[in-house]
Amino acid sequence: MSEETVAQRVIRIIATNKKMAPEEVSPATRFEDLKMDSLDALNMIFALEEEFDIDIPNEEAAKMKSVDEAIHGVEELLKAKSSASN
Amino acid sequence: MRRVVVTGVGVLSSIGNTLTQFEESLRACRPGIRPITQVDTSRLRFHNAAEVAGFEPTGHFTDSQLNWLDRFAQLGIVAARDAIADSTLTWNDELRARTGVITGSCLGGIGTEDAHYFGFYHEKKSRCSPTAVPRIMSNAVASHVAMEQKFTGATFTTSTACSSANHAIGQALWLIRQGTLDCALAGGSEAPISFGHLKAWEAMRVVAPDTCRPFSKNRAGIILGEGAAMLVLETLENARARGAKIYAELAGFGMSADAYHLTSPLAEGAARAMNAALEDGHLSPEQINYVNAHGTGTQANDSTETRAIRQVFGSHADRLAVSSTKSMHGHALGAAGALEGVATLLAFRNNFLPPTANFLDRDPACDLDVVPNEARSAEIEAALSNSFAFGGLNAVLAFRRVAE
Repeated sequence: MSEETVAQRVIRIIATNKKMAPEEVSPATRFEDLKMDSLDALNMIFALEEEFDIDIPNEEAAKMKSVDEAIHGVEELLKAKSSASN
Repeated sequence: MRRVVVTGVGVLSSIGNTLTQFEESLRACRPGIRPITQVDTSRLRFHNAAEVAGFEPTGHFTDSQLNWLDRFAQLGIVAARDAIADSTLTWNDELRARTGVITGSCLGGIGTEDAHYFGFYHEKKSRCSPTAVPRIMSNAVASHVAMEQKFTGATFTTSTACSSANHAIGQALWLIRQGTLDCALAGGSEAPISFGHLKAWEAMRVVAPDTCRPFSKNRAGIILGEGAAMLVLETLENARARGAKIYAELAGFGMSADAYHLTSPLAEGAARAMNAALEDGHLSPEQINYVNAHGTGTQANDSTETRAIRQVFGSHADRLAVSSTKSMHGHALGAAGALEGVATLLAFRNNFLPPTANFLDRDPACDLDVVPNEARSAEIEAALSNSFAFGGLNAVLAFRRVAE
């Protein structure tokens, strides 16, 4: 079995957060369509930080309005993290 | 009906540890928001707070007393002593038996708690001080003040997050009005600057990276504050009989629950509390000149509070002065309403409007006269002081000018 991709992990976190099946969440899904309120969003950002062991600054969090944007944001932060540790 | 007035005030905050310094800072629009000194902030996303500065506990307490006192209690007890001195009341056994102490605190001795947990979890200590429990309990200030002053009337503590102090002061008003007490020390104290607690605020992403800019378009959140303030409340009749100076009448108290959301505010809930305070104080909206706003500096609070004020005051909202002194003394959580009550009482006593500091661009969603960046001379007749807590619990005090 192949290892889970970053995108799959982000989707899994969001689906768990909203108590949905991962198949119901796609990269195109917008958070407003998931009826995410401010506390849901905070919890999701926290769960992503824990999953990937990254810090998501407020300005990056503010850019994450859809699953796709969350995946992209996490990927960028992971890149920054790995170049910082090299 | 017994009317209740404020005849003594004590305050310690980032903008002054005496009433005189506190007033000077309000008048000069001088915020006490500075880099945090009590904890290392290198692992925090924010670095500023409104800490009490220059407070030397050993100047106020013996070492054996300090063993029993978390910083929040030290601040609260000193504020109570200062308020009692300011009131110039003469105490006897009869009055002491009919005096209560009603205090607000959101966090109690969280600094003590944090230090003990650090000891257990990180330093692997096997025991902690036997004074830990009484240091941590949120009613420490009420109990210590009662013991120190021999006040034996109704005494307790309210803990309703950011509304704690207003709920405490409001209960004190009603207990005196209904005849349970003749006199009360009421207010709040808070010392939230502990690393574990600051991390919890960081996770909520509501703390501003630089400063607190209530009602400004680009406001970025709260600045946590530390402090304590206590009021001496007594009947108007007693205050007049002894020729006391009177700051103002505490005319009314209103509270409500949003029953809506843990952290998002609801304009209707805030408006119901303001209306309840007006009704309790037999005040019409048109009599109010000044509102000391909850004004936290978050995007959600300030626009929602503006809508609530417009709901309550209608077109009179355009003739109101509305300011947030949190822009100077920070958000002192369970002490917030007490600090803001003092700012409001000084406005009555010395005829000025405390400003909203750090104000930049206007926000169309906060289209009120927020007294930006400069205190203003004004004689106010009546005022509200708003506190709206996480958890949707709202508490509003109404004050009115009264002849001495």
